[in-house]
Amino acid sequence: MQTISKDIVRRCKDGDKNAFRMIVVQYQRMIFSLAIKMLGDEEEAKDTVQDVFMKAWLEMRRYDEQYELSTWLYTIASRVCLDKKRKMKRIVPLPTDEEVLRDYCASDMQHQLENREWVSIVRVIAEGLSDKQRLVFTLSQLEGLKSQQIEEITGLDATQVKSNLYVARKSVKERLKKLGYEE
Amino acid sequence: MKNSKIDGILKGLRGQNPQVDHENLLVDSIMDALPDLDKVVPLAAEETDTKQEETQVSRFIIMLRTISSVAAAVLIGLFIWVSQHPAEQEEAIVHRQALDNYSQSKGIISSATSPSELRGKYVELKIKENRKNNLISMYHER
Repeated sequence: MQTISKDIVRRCKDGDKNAFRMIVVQYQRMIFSLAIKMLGDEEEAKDTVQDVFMKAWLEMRRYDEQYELSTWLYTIASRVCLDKKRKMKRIVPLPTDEEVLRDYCASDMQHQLENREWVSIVRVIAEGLSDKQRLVFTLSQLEGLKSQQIEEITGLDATQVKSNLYVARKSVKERLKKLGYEE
Repeated sequence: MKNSKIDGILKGLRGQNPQVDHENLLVDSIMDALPDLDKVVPLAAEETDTKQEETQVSRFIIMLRTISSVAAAVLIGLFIWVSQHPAEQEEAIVHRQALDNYSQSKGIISSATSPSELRGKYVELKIKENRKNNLISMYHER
């Protein structure tokens, strides 16, 4: 992923929409990825991308350049996702969602998942996690972020990140075991 | 340690990301929705000021409510105390006098001080005296 230069950030702070377009193009996939895994709903995830960039645009002048731009955008996205999650009704995974996971595991687990497959899989594996556990699990296990960055994004300390991740991983593993996957 | 099937699933998922369909459309819709910052900032500041004023007013109202409810509670308590206190004292005096008279006539000294204690003592002695009188009259009847 290309990094956004400080010059582009400064132009955004001055209200240059063309400069901000570069940020949107650069980071929309990253935000969409977090949102779809957090919310388990493709349309909500697209709305989240819009909300996140709208907030980022309005708050751009407050962005502290000592932090990574991606960390700052992840922070906004996490808050928007948690807010949406609270307002959304609980989604119960259906047998068809479990089938999608089964098909994925039966394959070589290398093929590129479609968005609807992602929705089904995260619905199944993250079922029963609290919002905070789900956020830490998604950032760490699905997005592959390091603990330090997760601390900055979530505002949790190292111990809280570790304990939330431990509980989430345990819960996900138990859930997969119940569905017949070996540990 | 041998990697488990479950770890394999999670690792497989970590290696890939969902794709945004029609990326350019999404970018265009985001860009179309962005307001000009120079128009937004004064509005946002004004909104913040209004919110701060609203917060100050609501805090003042809460403070007034608290003060008035405390004052009302104190007034009610005072009223109850004033209305009960003289009656209580009068009652105590009546019972003290009655008990003193009775104690003097019977040569008993009571240590009771509160109105209820005095009333209780007086009633107790009266009952004892009545019982004694009843026994005496029964004895005479026989």
